[in-house]
Order: sequence, then structure tokens, then C-alpha cells
Amino acid sequence: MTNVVLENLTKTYGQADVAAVDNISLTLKSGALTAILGPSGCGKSTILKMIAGLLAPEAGDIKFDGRSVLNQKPEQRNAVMMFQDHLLFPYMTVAENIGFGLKMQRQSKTEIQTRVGELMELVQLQDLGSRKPDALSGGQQQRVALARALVVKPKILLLDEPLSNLDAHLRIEMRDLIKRLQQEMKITTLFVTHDQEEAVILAEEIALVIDGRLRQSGSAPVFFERPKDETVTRFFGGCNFVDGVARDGHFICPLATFALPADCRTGKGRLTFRPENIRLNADLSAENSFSAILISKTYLGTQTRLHLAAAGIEFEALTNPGEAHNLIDGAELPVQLPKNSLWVLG
Amino acid sequence: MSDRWKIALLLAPAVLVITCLFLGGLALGFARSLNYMPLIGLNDINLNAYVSILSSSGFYKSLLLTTYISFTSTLVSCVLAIGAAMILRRSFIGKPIASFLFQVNLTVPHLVGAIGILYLFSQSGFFARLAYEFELISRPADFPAMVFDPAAIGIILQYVWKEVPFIGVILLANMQTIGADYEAAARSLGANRWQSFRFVLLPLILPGLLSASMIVFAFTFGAYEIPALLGQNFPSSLPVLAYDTFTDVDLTARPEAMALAMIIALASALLIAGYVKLARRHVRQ
Repeated sequence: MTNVVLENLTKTYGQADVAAVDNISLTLKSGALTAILGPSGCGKSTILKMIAGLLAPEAGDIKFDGRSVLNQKPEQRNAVMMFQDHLLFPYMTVAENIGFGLKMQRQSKTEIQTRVGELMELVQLQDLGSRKPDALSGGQQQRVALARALVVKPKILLLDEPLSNLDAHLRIEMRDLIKRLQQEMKITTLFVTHDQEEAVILAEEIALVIDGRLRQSGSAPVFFERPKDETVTRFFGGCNFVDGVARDGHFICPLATFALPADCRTGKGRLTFRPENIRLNADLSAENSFSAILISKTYLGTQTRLHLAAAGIEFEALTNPGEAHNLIDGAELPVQLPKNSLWVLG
Repeated sequence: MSDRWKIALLLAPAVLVITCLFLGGLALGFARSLNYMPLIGLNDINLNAYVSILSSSGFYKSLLLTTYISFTSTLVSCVLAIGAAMILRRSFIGKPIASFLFQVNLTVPHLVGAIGILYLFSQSGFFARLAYEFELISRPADFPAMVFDPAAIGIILQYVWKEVPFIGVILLANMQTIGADYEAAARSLGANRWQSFRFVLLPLILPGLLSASMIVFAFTFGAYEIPALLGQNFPSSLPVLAYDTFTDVDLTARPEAMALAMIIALASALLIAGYVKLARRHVRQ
């Protein structure tokens, strides 16, 4: 298990004015799975490539177990990267692909055969060793890529959007496999994704990167319950923002005066509350309750999104389709914002 | 109409022309090599021309020389083209100019290049005079023989000069399609620079490299004008030998010339087949 520390990591491509990775500092817990989450082009893959040694940072340091690895070549770091496009060598069989790293280490043929066999069993590809990659499905190819990365017992496993090319059911299968293997092998793993749900399900820690900068890091609930700013809130599906003033444990705004959790900031700010936390048909005399008008509703399959308004402020709530079925546009609804679901942004 | 038929019909004109010209020419040449030339009274079909060629020591010397020229030219061109393509696929200041200069001689005919080699590298050429002016040699004739020489240096130089950009352009396009990610994956799996080239990039560009080098090999094996201009008189390359025999005043020598042409085609095909088999076996292991 290896502890990885990124210190003020910066990378600019060519003559670009804007840094692809801008002063990022992050600690990856030893043996844990950390996700770098962010939209496309935000610099996530660049961070992975710098850790793998495939790109050199302009500034900053990368430390494995307290030692800088900047002077080490990619092959000396044992930080194995698994790419979005599998990148299996098309002229090699599945077994040869998996054994590639061991061959580069000049391991004996017997050792390679044994390790490849073990890994093929681990990723459930026992019978496909002699096939070429183009004779495999996308999911199987990704499992071969995972086995190829794991066979060299990497210090750090770097996964670059490994699920994004898979269809829905294969995604879930592969996601579970990655999680199971990572937990069994306890390899420090960094997983890059643009999919918030994937990050939340897989990672113990999440680092949200937007425009090359680290916006917030922590465990998944922090991003939902204690987001740092509006951008982070919006990235995680937050859409309700009301301006007002927080004072003496309350938030005073045109909607109502709301009781706040103890750790909220005071002064001018923006109240945020997640649409799924809004309680409908609440008792109007209960704390943090008020009356709202239903403007419209949108059926989403497993949920229904309600567009509500009160005191000239529009906001959204999510409810189950059964509950929303009988609601008519223009109806007055008593709603409640539970105290612990509120958060004030600066 | 099914797609298969449509494709066949669309290809038919080109295939017909190629087949008629190529197979027709080959058949006619083969018939003549068997001593069948009714126009000059040769009707007795036999293998005398082949027997005569295969029992001549001069033929084997020419075959060896031609194989050596083709093999060396192809090998050196491939190595230099791979290196050039690997440099040109990177981003660097002045890349457009470098790429232009690299490809510019693609448009220059072989003959012009051969004359250039003659002017530059012969013992009365530019470099010989330069070496003499700088007193590196006491007289121009002391300049190492690079034209009309037994090692065929001038011929090889000319072929390399012309074929490096040809192979290089194909490989460059190939490498740009492949991208750098396969090598990155290999490096991250523990391959050093050489291993990543040897076990990843080379096998990936192999189809393009084989196609380009086969063309170069076949061309250099069968080309007449460069060995005729820059080569020694004896032994001469097979195409020069075939042409000289063909233009012999004695028309009865024509079957031998045709037999030589058949042998060139066969030897070229066999050598290419062997080369492809060897390359596939060694590069992809």
C-alpha cells in the first residue's frame, strides 16, 4: 500500500495561457480508492499521466510514500494506468496482453504463465486466453485491461474513465469488479470520471476538479451536505439557491425564516437545499415549513421533478411519481425544508 | 442488385485492365522465355533459355548483387524512415518546414536523383573535388569509389535518398493514426523506451512498414535505370543483364532475356514472401 501526495501540481500545454492543471494538492489515502471527478477537459487525465510519469509537471511535486518520484521514469514508478479505450495490443492474445508487464520485467515464462492464469481467473476470463482482443466484447476487453494492469502488482492503480465506453449493464458489472478487486488487493487507486454517481459509489474519497483546479475534496456525503460553493453544489445536482442573511442560527430570506444546522456560516449568503430533501404536504406549523405553488411537473421515470414557487422565488423538488400523480399545476402545497438539509454558501 | 455484385461491377474496369496488362504481359513473356517466338522462326518450345541462364556463373553474381542492393536499400530506408517518422510525429518548432523538406524529393524523378549522385559522389564529382581542395586527398581519383563500385554504394545511396521519404510518409500517417497512447500504456506497464518501441510501436506499424518496404524491395529488385547509370559493368544487376540481353543484336537471345525477366519476377516474389514471413514472426514475438 502506497501513500501518494500531490503538492501544488501544475501543468500547462504548449503555449496555452490557461493551466490544464492548476496548483493541485491532494493526498491519496494508502490502499484506498480515490476518485477525481470533473467535467470533460478539466485536467483529470493530465493528473493521472503526471502521476504515471507520462507527463512532466511544470511545478509541484509527486511523492510516493514521502519520496519524490519526479525524477523516475514511467517504468520505474510502478504506477500503472488503465485507459478509457482499453488499449489492448491488437496483435497479442489475451494471455499475452495480460502478461505484457511481466515480460517487460523479464520474468520467467513459468512465472508469467502462473500469474496470467491467476489474473485471468480473477477477472473471470479463464477460457479466453488464446483469443485476440478484437474477438472480445467491450466488457471483456476492459477486464483484460484491468488484469493486465493488476498482474504487475502496481503500487498505484490509475484508472482513466474505465467505464465510460461500456453500456449500462456492463458498467455496473465492471464497477463492482473494480471495487471488489480494489478492496481485496488494497492497492492505492485513483479513478478518474466525469460521472458523479460512479464516483460516489466507488470512491472512499472524491476530489472535484473543475477548470484544472481542485474545488473540493472529501467523502461523498460532504459534497451533498456541505458543498463549498455554488459550482460544487450544481455539479452534484443542487439547483435551489436563495439569497438572504444567516444570523443567530436562522436564515432570513423572502421564502421564510429557516432554522439552520449549527455549523452553518453567518452573514450574507445563499441558502441551498437539495430537491430530494424537500418534504411535501408538510404540517405548515412545523419548523421550516411554508406554502408554495406548483408551476409544473416533469416525469423522470423513477422520480418526478416539481417546479415550485413561493414569494417570487422558484425552486425544484423531487418526489416519487405516485405522490406527484394527483398534483395539478397551480395547486398550493405545504412544503418543509428539514433543518439538517440546509446549508449556507458564501 | 446485391452489394457484392455492385462492388464487383465497380471494380471490374480497373481489375480487367490490370489483369489483362499484367497477366497478358506475363503470359507473353513466359511464352517467349520458352523459346516460342514464331515471328523470328522460334517454334520449338523448350527450357533451353532457363538452363543456359541457370548454368551461368554470371547470373548468380548478378542475382547476388541485385538481392544485396535491394535488401540493403530497403533495410537502410526502413530504419531511417522509422527514425524520421518518430521525430516528425512530435510537436516542435519548425515542424512544418522539416516535414516539407523531408517529403520534397518524393516529387523528384529517380533519374534526376541518379544524376545528382553522379555529380556529387563520383571520383570526379563535387565531394571528390572538395576533398582535393581541402587537401584531404592528393588527387580526385583517390576519393573512395562510390559510383560504378562493386559495393554499389551510389545505387544504394540513390535508392535510400528516394525511398526514405516514401516509407516515412506512410509510417508517419500510420503513427499519427495509432497515437501515443499504446506506448504510454506500455511505459506505464513497465516497458522502457526501447521495449515500448520494439514490442508495441513496431508491431503496430508493421502492416504499413511491410507494405511500403515490399514496394521498395520489389521496385529496387526490378529497376533498370539506376543500376544502369550508377552500377559497375560486371556483374551488373539482373534487370541490366536482362535489358542488355534483350537489346542484343542477336534476336535469338530474346528467350534468355525473357527467362531472366521471369526469374526476376519469381525471385522478387519469393524474397518478398520470405521477408514478410520472417518480419511477422520476429517483430510480433
